[in-house]
Amino acid sequence: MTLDRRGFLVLASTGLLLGVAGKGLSTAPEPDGLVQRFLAIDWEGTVTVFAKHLDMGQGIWSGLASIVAEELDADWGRVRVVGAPARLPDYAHNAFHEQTTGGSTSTAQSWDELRRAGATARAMLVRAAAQAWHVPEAAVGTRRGELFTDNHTAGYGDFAAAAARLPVPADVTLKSRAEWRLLGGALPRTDTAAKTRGATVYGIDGMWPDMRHAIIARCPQIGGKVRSYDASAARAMPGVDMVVEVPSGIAVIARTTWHAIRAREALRIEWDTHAAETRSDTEIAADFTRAMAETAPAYTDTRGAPEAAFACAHRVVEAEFRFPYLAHASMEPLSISGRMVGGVCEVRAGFQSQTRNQQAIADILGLPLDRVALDTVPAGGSFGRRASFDSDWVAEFAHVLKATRWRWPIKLTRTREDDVTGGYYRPLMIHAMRAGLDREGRLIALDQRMSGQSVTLKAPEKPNWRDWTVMEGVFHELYACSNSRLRWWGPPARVPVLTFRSISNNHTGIAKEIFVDRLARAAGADPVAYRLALLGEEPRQVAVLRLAAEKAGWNTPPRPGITRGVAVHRSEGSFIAQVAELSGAHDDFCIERIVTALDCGLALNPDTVRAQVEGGTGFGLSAGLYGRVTLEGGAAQDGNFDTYRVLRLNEMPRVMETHLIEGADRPSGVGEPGSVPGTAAVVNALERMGLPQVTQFPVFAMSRI
Amino acid sequence: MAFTVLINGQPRVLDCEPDMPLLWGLRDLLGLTGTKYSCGKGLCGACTVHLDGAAVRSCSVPVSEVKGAITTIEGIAGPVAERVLAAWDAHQVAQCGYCQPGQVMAAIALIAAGPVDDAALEATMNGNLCRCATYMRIRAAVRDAAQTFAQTVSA
Repeated sequence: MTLDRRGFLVLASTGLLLGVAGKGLSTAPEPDGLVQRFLAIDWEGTVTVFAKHLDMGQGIWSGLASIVAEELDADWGRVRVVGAPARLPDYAHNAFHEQTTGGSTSTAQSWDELRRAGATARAMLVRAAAQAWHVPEAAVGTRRGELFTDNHTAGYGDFAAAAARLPVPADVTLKSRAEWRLLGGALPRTDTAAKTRGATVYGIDGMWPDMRHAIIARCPQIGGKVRSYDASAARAMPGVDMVVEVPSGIAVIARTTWHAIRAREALRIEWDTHAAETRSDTEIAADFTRAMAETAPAYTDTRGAPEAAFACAHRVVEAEFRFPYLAHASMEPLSISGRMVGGVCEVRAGFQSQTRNQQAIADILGLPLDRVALDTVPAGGSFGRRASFDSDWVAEFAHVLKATRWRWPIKLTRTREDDVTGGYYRPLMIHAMRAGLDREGRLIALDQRMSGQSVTLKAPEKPNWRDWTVMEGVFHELYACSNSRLRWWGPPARVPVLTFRSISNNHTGIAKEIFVDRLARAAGADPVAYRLALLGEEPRQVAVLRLAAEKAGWNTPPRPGITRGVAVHRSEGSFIAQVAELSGAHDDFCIERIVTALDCGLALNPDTVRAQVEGGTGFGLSAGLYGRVTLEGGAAQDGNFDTYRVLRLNEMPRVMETHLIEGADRPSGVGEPGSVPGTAAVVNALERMGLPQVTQFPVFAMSRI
Repeated sequence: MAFTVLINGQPRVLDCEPDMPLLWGLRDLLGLTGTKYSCGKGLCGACTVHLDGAAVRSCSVPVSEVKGAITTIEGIAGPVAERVLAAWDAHQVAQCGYCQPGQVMAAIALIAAGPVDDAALEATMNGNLCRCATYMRIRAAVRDAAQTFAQTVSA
């Protein structure tokens, strides 16, 4: 194993020892390089953890480090985290087999390897100390970054060099749960202080010597290309160094971001829109609805005999929901910087799919993969946007670097308007549901039709392919109904769509939970009891629903003026129920409290888990109550936060109580599940307060400021 | 043109056009990247800095119109700032963290200006967006910092 560039830099600057297989340092490198891949300990005892996943706010860098630190018995105050380089197979996601972050899987799929990495490093330190002190290994203890016996004490840094020269033990013993002193406790995040004080370097903060700033003019009509352009006025603007054409548009290269933004306005561009989207989002929705009536579905799953069951139904309940296109609108607009130096392309950004991102740059610049060095830094949000399967925003940067013949280091930034109007949205989805109830109000027949784009951006791999990016989380899967049918149509649209926090659950889960609440009302049943009766095969959903109801005092009437709504869901391997309490009127309300019960298996860092539930709930409410990208003539009309409305502080629930159930002995997803049920719980309360049945999202129309 | 602006106690020269927003002078000319760009139109608060102690949106202040002392997140100091930062740490507010320097700057100016009730807290902090929706903890941290500062002032 050779040291990568980052490794050299760290080695040179800190004298990094254990964990780096340099020449003469290690006589017997581990077969799988586990320790070297994930951690290093320097002379002073500082532990550096190499995170293969992107931290976009979910706290995964801190979380991964806490797993290592626990088994290593590290001093948490002396643990730091940096992004791992892009390299396979060393940093492959153990389930996806490429280096990427998604599906709230990072903790779960890192759990075993990072425990073992920390425990292995600890065992080597113990052996090194035992040899130096001439005592049996069993006599050497560890605590908070120290090795000790009855007669000795030393820091990990004192033995890092000696430990690095030892053979790597094949088997190590992992701590028992009772021995944990970090995991499961109140552990502060490693990144809090720097983020709060403005010291964290995000992609948009990248700086290189003699760097220039790039801004791209893209076709307002989504999918349009440049036909011709006149850059003479733009080139004459102050601070402008160059104007170049790239596949996605015209790039202005200037002295500052502002100079580039200003000069972009002086470009005169004629667009070729023959392959561009032409419709409004309302027209697209109408076409998607029509497709369900006029074309054959791409997917059908029929269970039992739904039509026969409908024929026996005492009552039929129908609903149709339209979910809009949504922009992720991370606070940090997409930005990426880098340079070519010595035949190596060095790039810095919040990379979420390093394997694909590195490949995209290598392909465009004609470089071998090992000549593309990605520096993954924390991202100022992503919510799915940075995970585009085609690496669009990374490829665009490589094109700019290529078009400028890498004359300067470049930082390419998107303005907020570029970010919101640029496509790669949460798909617009039509979701039609029909249920047959028997005389007692029990569900006996179900029909679900969905129409909208798949984020995989490709044709089904095989006939009747079940596209989980569209259909995960549907009623048909999560509630028991022996006679049901699920169909999906994937009609064409030229609007690129993409994963959005919790993938399809952000529409399927909401549709399911509003619909089941209406069924409960139609049946005259208690909404918690009605759900419990349908959750026979879902014991962990039952448990969270019961706990949320209990903690919210569901079986006692709320305070006067308070209306409750409830929702439950399963996603990313976790189980969540929320009870919302609203005051006011349905058109002028306050979310007074949300009580959550979450089962994410083992909650390694409970405060981070609660933070994800709180923030996820706010993010979900923002989308469900206020979010919509409006298209007219194929062009997005909402460019900034004045029209693309997102949740503000006064719209956040006043109180959130989050109760955790440990339903498994391993961790499961945390970053996404909290974003799903909140909208449904709030809508269910609002409909009980008199809001006409919701058919379109967002629930509240845009307030144009 | 060259404009001399007092930034974090130091006179700094910004060589740019008069209408360049202070935000870009701070970020792209001086490398003070703790002040964040997110909307560029005074809609989100990520670029909040202090002008003579008052919160302003640096994306909406042209360099030529800066008449006073600018403090950025890199330059904050004093009892209010210490309490705000301590409260932000204690409540583990930051998730992605990108908006937090702006949130902190808004909170410091709010608390330094006088007693903070819930209406004042909302009126000010509503101007700072957070897509991670850390709002519950922002609210709690501002309340805590305001309370501990008020206690020291009255003591």
